[in-house]
Amino acid sequence: MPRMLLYLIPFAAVGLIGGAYFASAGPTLPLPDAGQHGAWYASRAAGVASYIFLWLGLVGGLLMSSAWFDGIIGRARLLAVHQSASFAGIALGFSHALILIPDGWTSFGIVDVLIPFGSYYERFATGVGSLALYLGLVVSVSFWFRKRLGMKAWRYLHYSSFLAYVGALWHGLSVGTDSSQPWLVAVYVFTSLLVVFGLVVRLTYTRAARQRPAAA
Amino acid sequence: MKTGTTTTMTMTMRTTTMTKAQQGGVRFLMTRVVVGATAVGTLLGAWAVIAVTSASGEYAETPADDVLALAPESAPASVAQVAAISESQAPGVIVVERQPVVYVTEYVTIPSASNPSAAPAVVTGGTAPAAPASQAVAPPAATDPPAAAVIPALVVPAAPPVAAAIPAPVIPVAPPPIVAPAPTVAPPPPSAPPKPAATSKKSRGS
Repeated sequence: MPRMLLYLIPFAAVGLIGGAYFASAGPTLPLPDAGQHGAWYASRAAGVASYIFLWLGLVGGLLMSSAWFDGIIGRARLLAVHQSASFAGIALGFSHALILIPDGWTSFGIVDVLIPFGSYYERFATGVGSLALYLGLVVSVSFWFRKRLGMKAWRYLHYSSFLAYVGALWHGLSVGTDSSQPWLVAVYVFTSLLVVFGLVVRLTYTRAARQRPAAA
Repeated sequence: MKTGTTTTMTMTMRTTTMTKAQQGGVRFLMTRVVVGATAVGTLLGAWAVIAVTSASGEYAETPADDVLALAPESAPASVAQVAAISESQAPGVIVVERQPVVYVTEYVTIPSASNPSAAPAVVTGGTAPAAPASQAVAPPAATDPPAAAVIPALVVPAAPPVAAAIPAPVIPVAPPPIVAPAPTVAPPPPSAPPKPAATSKKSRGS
């Protein structure tokens, strides 16, 4: 079995468990009764969760490359967090878009949600969100093709994850239904500050990794 | 020898690690499971928060309108605001109400053409005459002293008389098209008149 597929097993397991739960208990338990707005609420929640985990992946990558957590969390484990969070954010992002298709509260079709700038509602803002999601997917998948791309090209491609993050943030601020809520404003501010902090640390704080004992 | 033993143990451990990675095992599997479970938990938590805040009806939700639901407290309280609102709307809107607007919700039964028997519940709060249906609500009569404690009553115009049934328009029936008679066979051209017989008659005058 290819190694790439093995990385998807944890997410598949979580998805199966969650899907079985919802299939049996329904989307209203233990949540408040959403009535006819269940899918609309789920899409908004998936968008918020996607943003948070894309942010987590970005910050994890920044702190890992800056050796900030050396001695606290191993780089290998931090890499696992970085990869898992990025893929979780992308999966949640696609959920955020696809849930809107069968939703009866909106009138989005498959073209509106999957084609950038194809939506009838806030064309530019939703297009930026679509592009951010696709860019995040490309950056994440490129990890397994870095040898074919070459390290320099792969590194520049990886830097574009900042663009994906900024695009996702701008999409949420522009058309996010809950973006005016205090709790989400606090999330935006906190996460943005941490990205700035991580970037400053990445650019200014570097130290060599601990020397491994030389093999005899 | 200790050095050799240490070296042997280190090589053994490194070989074991490399073998595990080369076998395709997922490193830090539990860490990835925890991150995935956290993602699901974050989704459910955000879902709950959004459902609770949306149920309170504090803000609009549909993507079609971004207008906040107006509360009664935000109703215009001055004539200038009412005039400004009417001017911003379609031209030609005439603001009849010239006093502070007070919203009074009162349910009345207005007879309609399909139910003419329903008696209109006219709220008599003054002596304002019954206004035709085409006009707006008439202001209360000047003789009624405005009492601060009395809420201006809602004057319902009298029900207009039930209009007589409009007869169905008579569509004139188009006359049948005039059928041109079939062309008759043209009579044969008359034969040339016979030549008058030669006569010896003289003219009378001669």
